[in-house]
Amino acid sequence: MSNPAENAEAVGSTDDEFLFSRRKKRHDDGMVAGLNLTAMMDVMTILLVYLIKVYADAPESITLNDDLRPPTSTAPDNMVPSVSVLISKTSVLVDQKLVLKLKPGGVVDAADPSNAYAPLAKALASRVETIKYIEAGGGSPFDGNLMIIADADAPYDLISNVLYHAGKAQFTTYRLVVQKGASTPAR
Amino acid sequence: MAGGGGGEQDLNLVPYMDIMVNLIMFMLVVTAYIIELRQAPVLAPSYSSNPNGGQTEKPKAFLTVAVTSKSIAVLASGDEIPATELVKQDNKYPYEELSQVLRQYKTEYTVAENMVLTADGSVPYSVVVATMDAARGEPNNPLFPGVTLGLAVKK
Repeated sequence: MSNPAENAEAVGSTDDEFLFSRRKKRHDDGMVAGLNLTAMMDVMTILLVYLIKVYADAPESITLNDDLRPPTSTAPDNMVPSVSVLISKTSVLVDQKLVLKLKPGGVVDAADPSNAYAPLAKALASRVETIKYIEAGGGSPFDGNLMIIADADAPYDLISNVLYHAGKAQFTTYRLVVQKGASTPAR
Repeated sequence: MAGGGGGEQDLNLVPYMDIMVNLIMFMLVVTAYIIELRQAPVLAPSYSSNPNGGQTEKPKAFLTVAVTSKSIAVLASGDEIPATELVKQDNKYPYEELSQVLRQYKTEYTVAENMVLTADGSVPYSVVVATMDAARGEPNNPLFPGVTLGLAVKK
């Protein structure tokens, strides 16, 4: 009786030889008969690089959901990264930091309604101060650009108040972020 | 495998191919969900006493478009230019009519290139953006490319 271990080794060896022979199988004229993966690898690599570039070209990674869906518009300008104010159905964020919570209907949830926008004003002023500090240290200058990313259903009162406080914080150019497409259907 | 026998060995590309295919599938799915975003520029209000920069010629009339929950009104700074109100029909704002009316104002009167857009505090942001689109006109035939957003009108 033969030893099972020897048998297994023999089988393994046979498999290796089989695979090797398949990979290296040559016709009599010397041509490689196996699938040449190198060309396919080239295609895959080019595709991957292209997709990474497309992904990286998106200047702002904005997660759109039911809480935040900007209106569609025919506005032609491309996105220019700058300080952003994000107005969703439930909150207001300055550069991804929560500054205001909103009640249904876009009303600011604040203990003191007369001073409801104070955290927003403070956050914008702080952001300007930081950019100016960087500018003083040789960084890029403060250009006064502000990007407003707002939900389509946000009331104009809220947008107007945000713009008012942005103006007070020395922002001079406002850019409304919209989804590319035909204008929002009339309603 | 270490080739001790001096046989010809190829790099096994199959695992690498698996990784690449998975990565490409992931990237394709992710890019399919990337929504193309654009920016609509808005002018900040200016408080210059003479918008013509010191020139003595008659200043151009300034148009203001006011959006309420029931209509869109076009108002002008000059007394000689009449106002126009476009009422909502079938619960829809008349954006196309607004473009036509603004074009009419632009051809018939001497008005500034920029205009002010204001709205009732309860008007949704999407309506404001759609009104801006109507006021901006088409790229090859622009109406009022510069829009200043005014403070919300409160009841």
